[in-house]
Amino acid sequence: MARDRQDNSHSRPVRRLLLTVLLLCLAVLVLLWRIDNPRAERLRSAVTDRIVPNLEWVMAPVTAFGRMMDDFQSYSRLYEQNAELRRELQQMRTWREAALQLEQENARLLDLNRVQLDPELTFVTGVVLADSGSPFRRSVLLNVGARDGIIDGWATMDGLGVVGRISGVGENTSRVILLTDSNSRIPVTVLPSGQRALLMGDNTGVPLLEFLEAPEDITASDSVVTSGDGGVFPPDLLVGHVVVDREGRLRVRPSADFSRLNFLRVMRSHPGTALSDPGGMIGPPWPLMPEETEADAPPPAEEVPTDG
Amino acid sequence: MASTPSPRRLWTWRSLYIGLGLGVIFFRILPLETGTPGLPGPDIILGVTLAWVVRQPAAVPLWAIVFLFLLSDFLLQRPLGLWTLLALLGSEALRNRRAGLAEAPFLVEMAMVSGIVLMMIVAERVILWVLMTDQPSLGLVLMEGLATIVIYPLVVLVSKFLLRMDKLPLVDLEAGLRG
Repeated sequence: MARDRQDNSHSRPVRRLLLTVLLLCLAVLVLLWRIDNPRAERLRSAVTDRIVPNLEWVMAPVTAFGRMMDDFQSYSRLYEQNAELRRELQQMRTWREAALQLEQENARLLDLNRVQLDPELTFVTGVVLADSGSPFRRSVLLNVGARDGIIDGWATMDGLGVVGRISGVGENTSRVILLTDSNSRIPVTVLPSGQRALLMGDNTGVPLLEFLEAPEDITASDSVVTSGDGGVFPPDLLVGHVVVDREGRLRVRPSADFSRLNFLRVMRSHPGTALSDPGGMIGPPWPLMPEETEADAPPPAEEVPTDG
Repeated sequence: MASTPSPRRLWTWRSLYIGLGLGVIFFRILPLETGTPGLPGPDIILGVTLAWVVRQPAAVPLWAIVFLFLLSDFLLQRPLGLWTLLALLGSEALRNRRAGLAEAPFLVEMAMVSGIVLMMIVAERVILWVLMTDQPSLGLVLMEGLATIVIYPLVVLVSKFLLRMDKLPLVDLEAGLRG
């Protein structure tokens, strides 16, 4: 006891100094996070990258057990679910017929028109390792990273619809910000009317649809796909369907099953070539200025057949 | 019971603290509820930290608090360092007021802890506002704080009867300030 108190007499100022230094360091860290956010987030993904993959051996069984418990709860409704699935399957069969016929027709028409399609989207599949762990953030961590060629900003889908975008890539892991996160903004098109809008996550299960030109033209269950505006996302990926909430605002119910994110596809997207300058590829600038064309461009008679 | 705990006991508590914190972080990042945004649960690490600071401050040394909170800042997508800073300030405030709490009834302690948790939440919002970052909704944050306050008595009960962690009597307060 006595020794303790003796220790105390000179350890207290030291402790106070230590505390001050710690507080200062933390304050600097907060400021750094604010001022140089990309660097701080890279630091965060590096730390996550170091820690989480090492935990996989514990996390995988615990997660599997948790999911089994969830599944077990749904056994009680097994009979109803079975009936429901049979009914849906019946409907799907008719749709499948229709889709096959349409696909053939589409292929014939494309062939007739000699349409050049986008190169097929390829994807990298990753497994969900961890989620954000915070009630205020909606994101998941995938087990693919820079090592697998993942790049920030790529779209991520589950089997059916868009789930979110990559934000933060570590060497072995990458973080996907879900559509429902309050920081998520995705340019979309609402389909039958073709209107462009922005899908804004607000930390609920159904993100808001905003900046619509004519909201009155949109009805519930219109389908929503990515528009590809701004070159962020590849166009025409299915996002979900429009629903109207109690306050009459338009929201989107995602097609992806957010409650069971397990395997996700990261779509490799290559930025399309931007058309910055309208002329040149079709022909000489028009109207022709006699002196400029002679000075700058080769005679139009040569250029038209090669490019057009 | 009335004397300072033996080093062995102390280290048991410390490792228990770190282990518990790591366990909480681990369970929070399990990808079980990826979709449905549920109600925010209590900040168990904060509750345990505050309860133990009142009882056995040496069981929650500075380095352990910084380690656990900084790790959860990194892994749980929070602003880096901010919640750690506030938790450190909050626990220090409580540590310095232990003399008054040693003989006081539980309700006084409860009130003080609630005050500290709410102050931390307000301070976090003010700092985020000054830094001009976007913030989670006030309702959710308050709910998390309230949940932390609500589980506090439970944490105290568990540490008192399961872990036999009593408040240090006044005589030992000075010694208990170390750590």
